[in-house]
Amino acid sequence: MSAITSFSGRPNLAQLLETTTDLPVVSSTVLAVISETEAEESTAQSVGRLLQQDPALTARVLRLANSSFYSLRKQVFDVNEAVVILGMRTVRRLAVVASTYPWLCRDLKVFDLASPGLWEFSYATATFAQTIADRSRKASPDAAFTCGLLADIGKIAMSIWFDGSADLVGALRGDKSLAIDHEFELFGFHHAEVGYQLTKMWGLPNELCEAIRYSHTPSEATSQNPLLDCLHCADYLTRCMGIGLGSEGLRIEFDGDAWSRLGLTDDDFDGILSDWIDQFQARQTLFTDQAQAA
Amino acid sequence: MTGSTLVGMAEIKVIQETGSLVCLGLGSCVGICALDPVAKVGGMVHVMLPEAFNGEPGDKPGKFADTALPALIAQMEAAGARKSRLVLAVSGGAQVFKSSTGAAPKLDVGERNGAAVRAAIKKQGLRCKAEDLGGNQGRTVTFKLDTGDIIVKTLSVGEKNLTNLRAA
Repeated sequence: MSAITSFSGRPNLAQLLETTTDLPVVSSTVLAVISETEAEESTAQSVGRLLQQDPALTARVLRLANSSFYSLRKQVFDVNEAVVILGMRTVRRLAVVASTYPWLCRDLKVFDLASPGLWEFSYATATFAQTIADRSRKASPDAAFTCGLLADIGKIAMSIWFDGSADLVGALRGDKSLAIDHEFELFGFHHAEVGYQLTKMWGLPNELCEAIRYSHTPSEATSQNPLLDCLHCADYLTRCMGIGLGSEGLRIEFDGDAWSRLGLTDDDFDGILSDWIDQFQARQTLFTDQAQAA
Repeated sequence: MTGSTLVGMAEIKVIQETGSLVCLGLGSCVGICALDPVAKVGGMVHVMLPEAFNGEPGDKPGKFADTALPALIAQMEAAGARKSRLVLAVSGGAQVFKSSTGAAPKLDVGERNGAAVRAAIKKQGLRCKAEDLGGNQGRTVTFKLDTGDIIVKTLSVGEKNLTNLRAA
């Protein structure tokens, strides 16, 4: 589907989702791996078996596993071996990264994000969410990582629909309102809602879908969701670091109650930021390796 | 060299004679630019946090405002600059558009970074010729050593010349 060049009235989100054939997808293998790694009875073999169903994905996971970041003593050629050596959790993260990278490294004109802006933003948010979940012990770090990586997936669909048709950047220039309100005003929905609809379509856990839906508006969530709180704080920290700001920039509202609900204190803040930068920069090699593998 | 040198998070970069230094996408971080106009040595540091834990910056002194400036000065002196001749400009320390930090005021890291950088400059007894701190805009800061210009780019304003560090 090519970009919509004009629309009268409000575009219908359900209709757009139904009729667009080139929407971002996460492979069914990755969804199965996510589900399997959360099951109590999962083993390295069961995860490896699932990954092997997708040879292209397996190849990319192996390239990541063999990247300089992990400094393995010998090259790994077998995904079962990769699961044993790196651990199920790491391989799950690599599979999610390998599956989403081709989408996340696109140019998104409507959000003024040149490649690899969205990828950097998503990866930073994922690693912040993981760090926060780890520190707070209120949410699964793996789920938080996946959630962070997919949080802005709705922007990709909106870019497919609206690149070239709506000047969101221009609309935001000099304005004093929240970016998400502007999106809603222009299109009748915003990227967080689109992300929710997409992740729901893929059958991801409801807690994760809801976290994406309310990532900019946590007070609107109807139930307590630590994953949402992790994502909201991760989004805030990523913007504080100035990563992948695009047209949204700092035009967000941060709700400090999310931090408090996670049981985090004032003193945790600087520690989380300081630890994160060391890990983030160490993992920069993954970006290079991903670019080569894409 | 005539190209641009990127100064990533927590990094300190020093150049001589010619070239540019660039801090891309400063959010709450602060970029400190310094010039010795006589020795033609320029430096930039990308500060992330106000102060090192227990005064120990680890292997990244550029990460913290209180350790970044002494480290920047030391690197510039090693390149031939004199501390007494340094002229500075700072930019960054933005905040998100709206926030309620509740019981955790430290989450206002942009404001804290700005204050810490000002305090560090005062402590070193250096002259800060211009500052562009706070607000709700991400910034890209470019320091052109050849001309001494400090250019700040934001989404709403575009490019503006913050100051010229060579001019008296």
